[in-house]
Amino acid sequence: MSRNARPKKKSPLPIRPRIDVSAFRGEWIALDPETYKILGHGPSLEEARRNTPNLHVMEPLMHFVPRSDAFFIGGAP
Amino acid sequence: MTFPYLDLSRGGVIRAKPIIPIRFHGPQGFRQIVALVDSGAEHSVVSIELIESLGLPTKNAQAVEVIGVGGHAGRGYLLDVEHQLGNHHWNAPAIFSDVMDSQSPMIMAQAGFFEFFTVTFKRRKLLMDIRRAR
Repeated sequence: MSRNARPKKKSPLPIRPRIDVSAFRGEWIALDPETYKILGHGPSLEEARRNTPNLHVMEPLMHFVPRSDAFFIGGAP
Repeated sequence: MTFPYLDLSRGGVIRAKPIIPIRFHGPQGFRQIVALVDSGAEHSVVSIELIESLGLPTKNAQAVEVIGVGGHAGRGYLLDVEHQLGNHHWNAPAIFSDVMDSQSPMIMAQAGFFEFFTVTFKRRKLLMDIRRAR
């Protein structure tokens, strides 16, 4: 490496989001796509989506919370 | 594209899962969902609620049966849908099923996802590297 060469900067690792979904078993939750903050919830995808504030400016990220705490071991059920 | 695993906490137990945000497009706009990247699953499976939510035409839908570990079976409809991840768009069939609305996450699988992307799981770092397959 030449004297003037700068060491390559490593790009920072993305922050790993953490969501506590325990209160929403069997429901859909609407998440902020940037922060993964829970914005709304409901029994169906559309109801959870409609319960999201600012729906006219931001499409939420939808997630269905399984009813069970069982370990998922892969493959379509 | 690098995606961190998502920490999902249910009742104090935190599970880090390889989950990505996927956007589906249809006549009524788009919806974004979180889906598990599952290299062991044969076909992508998403919630049947997305058919109505996106306004997808079901005229050419093919009824299919899905089965997983343990032999639990369910029904679904195979439909072509436009997917989006980041700036990448692709058309692929996905199975729309109500089995997703009980116990399972939505799944991005070999057909519909892995055929379009090269995925490297970095479990120790809890990261996924996803690149368009060339």
